[in-house]
Amino acid sequence: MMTAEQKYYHFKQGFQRVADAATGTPDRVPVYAQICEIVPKEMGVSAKKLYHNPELLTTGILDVCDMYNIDVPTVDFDCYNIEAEAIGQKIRFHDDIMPDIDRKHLLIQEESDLRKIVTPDFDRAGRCPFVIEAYNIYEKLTGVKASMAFCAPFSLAANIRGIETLIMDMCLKPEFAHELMTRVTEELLIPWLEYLKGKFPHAPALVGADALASLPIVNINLMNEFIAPYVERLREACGPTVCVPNWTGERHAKNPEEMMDIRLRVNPGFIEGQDPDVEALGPEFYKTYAEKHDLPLLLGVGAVFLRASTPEEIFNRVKHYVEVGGKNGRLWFYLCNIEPGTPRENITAAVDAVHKYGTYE
Amino acid sequence: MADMNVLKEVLITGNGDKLTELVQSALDEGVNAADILNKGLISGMDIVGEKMKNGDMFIPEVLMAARAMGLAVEILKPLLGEEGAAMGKVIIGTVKGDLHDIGKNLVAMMLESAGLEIIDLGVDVPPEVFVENINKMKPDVVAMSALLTTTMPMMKATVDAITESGLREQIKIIIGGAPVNQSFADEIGADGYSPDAGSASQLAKEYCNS
Repeated sequence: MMTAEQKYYHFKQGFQRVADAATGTPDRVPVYAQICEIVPKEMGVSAKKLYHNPELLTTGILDVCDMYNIDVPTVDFDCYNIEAEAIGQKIRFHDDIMPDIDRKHLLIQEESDLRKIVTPDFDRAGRCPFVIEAYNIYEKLTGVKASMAFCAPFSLAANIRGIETLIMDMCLKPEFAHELMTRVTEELLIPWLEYLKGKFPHAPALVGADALASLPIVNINLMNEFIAPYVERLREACGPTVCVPNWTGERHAKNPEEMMDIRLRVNPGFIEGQDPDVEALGPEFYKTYAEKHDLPLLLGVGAVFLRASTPEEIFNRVKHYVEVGGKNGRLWFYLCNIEPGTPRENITAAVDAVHKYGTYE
Repeated sequence: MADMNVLKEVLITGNGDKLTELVQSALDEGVNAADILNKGLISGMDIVGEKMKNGDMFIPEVLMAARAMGLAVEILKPLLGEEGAAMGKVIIGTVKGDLHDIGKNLVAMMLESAGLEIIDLGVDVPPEVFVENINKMKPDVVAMSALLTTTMPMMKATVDAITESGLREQIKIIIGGAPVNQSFADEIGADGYSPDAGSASQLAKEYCNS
């Protein structure tokens, strides 16, 4: 007899699929989805309330995943803001959209502001307690160990300094840029990850979000000199469960494999490709690269495509990705950051296609 | 004698110090400031825009080129008379509810480097502020940016507000940002859509010249 507390234990099956697909062939391809943008509307609550209430957020995520047959729920909050907020960066909260950095009031305006980057008291700082509580509730409700999300060094530095200013710092004032990246890494992120590991010693992964570290926002030189080394430093300090999988934009590179090789340095456990890169380079490119490195593959269908296409178009694209990427197993599938306003039938079409074409005999 | 092709090449590499040296020596040789601006710098930024559009330059290189352009223009400014007047005026802003600015800033930089006068209203700009500034500044083009699907409707609200104010016929409206596309531009009654800063610069120039 399942107790009320075990209502979400069925998600264990999805995690088993993830584990099976990591090394071979599961019963079918597991589906992840980034749903943080749609949970408030689906739950009928304001985003501001949701992103302050860990219980509401966690049950909302689990219910929305249930609703759409998403196999693998993750604790999906505004992970780009937490560490910045913890050291005093202003965040704007809205009723209808995700919280965001207040770019009119950036924390690091001038070089002397670096002194503001100090290790905070994570028991109290910003919404760090909210994050901890969300993970606790998630683990209790699902019976699964939570993977932890954090903001990776480059995106964090960009969010407290301003992205163009940071890029110009890297080009014109490299010593200052390194100092900023070092402080963000050493004073903020390493202590935060250690804190998380202390609270959740069995966390399977510490996953850094770093969408800003993508082409064409940055270039290969900046990735090599200023971005990858700080993630490598995090891995060195906090262990191999730290990874940063969401750098994108290889379709812009003259040699996409060169970019993939840099990505591998900060995410050595699997290969990830998402639209519009997969759309441009084809799922074959990613499958070949994954097989070359003997790694599982995570393929993602794009948010804009999911919102603006017909269910038939979505079904066909997902079918193609799953048939190519899932050959011989080792595929996880991902619906990238589902946008508010995405028709429900579009999400259903994507999941149905994975179920239909990603089921193994 | 000053070689405009060298000037363009240096601009494209983003070497501001070298570019300002070249501009100064061209002036010393008696080259007209407006010629340096139009045949060297603006023409060089057109190439930057094209390269960006084709994926041959990324944002860091574009930012450096725009910075070099800015340094060079500072030298020319006092010497530019009527010939150096802006080729058009553009009001730009990220729509209400949206605090993202990288796309907007990059477009503003490219437009300014293309010889247009820019009035940057910043981020989180309500429709009435767009209208107020159109009334006051009399631009040729209004450029709007949004990075969130949730703020896309605010683009339509802004177009509607401009139409209701009776100012729509005086201007062209262009939009850009990750979630928008040409069909959305058509749907809300904008005149144009640009997928990147290089294309936005070309489009705005076309509209200013039309």
